[in-house]
Amino acid sequence: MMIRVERLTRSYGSTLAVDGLSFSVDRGEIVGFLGPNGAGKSTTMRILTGYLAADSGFAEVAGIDIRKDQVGVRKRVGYLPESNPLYLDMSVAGFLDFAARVRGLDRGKRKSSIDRATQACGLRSVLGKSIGELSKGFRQRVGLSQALLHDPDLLILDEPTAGLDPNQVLEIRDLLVRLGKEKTVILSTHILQEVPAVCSRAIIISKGKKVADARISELLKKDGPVRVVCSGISAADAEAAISIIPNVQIRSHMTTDGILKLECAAPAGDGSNERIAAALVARGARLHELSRRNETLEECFHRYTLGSNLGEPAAAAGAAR
Amino acid sequence: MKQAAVIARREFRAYFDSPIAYVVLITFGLISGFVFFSFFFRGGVASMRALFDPLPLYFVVLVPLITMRLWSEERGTGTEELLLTFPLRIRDAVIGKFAAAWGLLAVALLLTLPIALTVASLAAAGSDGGGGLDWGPVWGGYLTAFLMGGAYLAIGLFTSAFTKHQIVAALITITILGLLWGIGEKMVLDFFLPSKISDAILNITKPISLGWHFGAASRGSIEFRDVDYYLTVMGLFLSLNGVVVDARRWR
Repeated sequence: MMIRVERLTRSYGSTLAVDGLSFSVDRGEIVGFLGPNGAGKSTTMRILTGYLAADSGFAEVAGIDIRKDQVGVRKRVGYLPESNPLYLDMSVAGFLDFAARVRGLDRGKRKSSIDRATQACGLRSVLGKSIGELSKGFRQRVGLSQALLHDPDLLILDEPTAGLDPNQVLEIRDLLVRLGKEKTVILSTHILQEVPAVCSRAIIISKGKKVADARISELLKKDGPVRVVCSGISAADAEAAISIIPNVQIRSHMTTDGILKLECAAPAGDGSNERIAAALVARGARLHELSRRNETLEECFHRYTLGSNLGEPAAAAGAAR
Repeated sequence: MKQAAVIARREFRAYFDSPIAYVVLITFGLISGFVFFSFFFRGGVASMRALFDPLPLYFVVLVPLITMRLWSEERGTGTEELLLTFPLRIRDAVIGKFAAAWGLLAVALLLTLPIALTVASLAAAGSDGGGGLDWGPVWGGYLTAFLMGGAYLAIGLFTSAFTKHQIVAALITITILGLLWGIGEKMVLDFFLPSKISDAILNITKPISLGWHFGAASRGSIEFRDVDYYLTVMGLFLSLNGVVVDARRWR
């Protein structure tokens, strides 16, 4: 067990940031830590790295109680704080040398560690540059290589891809996948697409509480919406036809060039697919396509963090396809 | 302790990566040199008092410039989170930052050595038969000045931990140092109060004032009482600094 968190609570004044949070992360896992802004992700990570103290609860990192031996915990953890603060006046080489010294690596170890970390993060070409001159993508790599220097077992990365352009996001994501092969990683992110690409498991928190914790494939509901493409029927007629089927609602519809596209919320496995098809055909519709798709991670996120699987705006559903 | 040295090294270099070190050193060198020589040539005695006497006042202005960035810059830019999540104890960070500042102050003091050398050569060449400069009290003065500077710096470092704005840190530090210096200066108290009252107050406040403890050293004698005072102030504010930084984990 790499991380064990039990009933962790932390408030800022009267605002409860983390509210009785419990979870655990096994060695070798890459866990995505998701949640809306202000859900308590950064606060949790800051507690794990000892930057903040918890009000109550228990947390253990690599078998060490964070209240008993913070320095011991930090030795085993590589941490990329949110917004990646760095000493901008220092050169990349100077900064990494400083980080290696603070981590207590001796001379020979320092050189090999810096070599390995800069190699992994593709920083060789900018070693002599001052960090303040670097682009955001390169700064992110500096932050990551700092976190990797001492070859830690556990990486805690707070929004490692925030503020990067799509190419940089891909590069960092590739790096994370490579790192994930030998390390335990817990990372927070707003970019949901990278969760299935990088993580084996997702923990979703909302208002300081855990609302979901499962493998990505288990997290997504299989009974996503039913998508129908048909023609020869008006939207109003289709709505009238479908509204009489029990437990089925139209969530969105869109007509282009006489083709009607519908998305319906319908329970899986009780023949509602067939009922929708029959109802539409009975009204004279020509059916082109009818399929049930899995829930997207966005919808899943929405469902968990807003506590509802209805009321999805039509525009969002239209744009999702 | 090893980590304190790593922090000190970084902080000391950071001074020279920014204009602060140069501003501090040049300002201090010019002012102390100018004031010294304008008094020295009037007095005509082979003494360093014209350098040492105003040091407590110089430090009131100089030390906040040195300490203002130490914690507030880290807080302003967020690097505090990086620093405090490295595997080091807060004590090491405090001592490292303090040592870097103390090192810069030592450089500033060393810059005034040419003054002492000038005095020595003038005294040796002089006709009053004084037999040149007595170096013992000079080194004593420097050593005490260094300790006094340490006390000022410890207060400035402590103050810097309360804000993320360097200017605010500097202003608060100047105010605190000015107060702690002023309560030991008859001239200052007389400005605000009738002479009799200020005398009475001075008797109480002198022993806790920053500058008064430098009087004996400036005249050439190191007193245990003064050394003890400066070390106590240093120890007190460095410890408080650690407490304040640690307490921020509960903010």
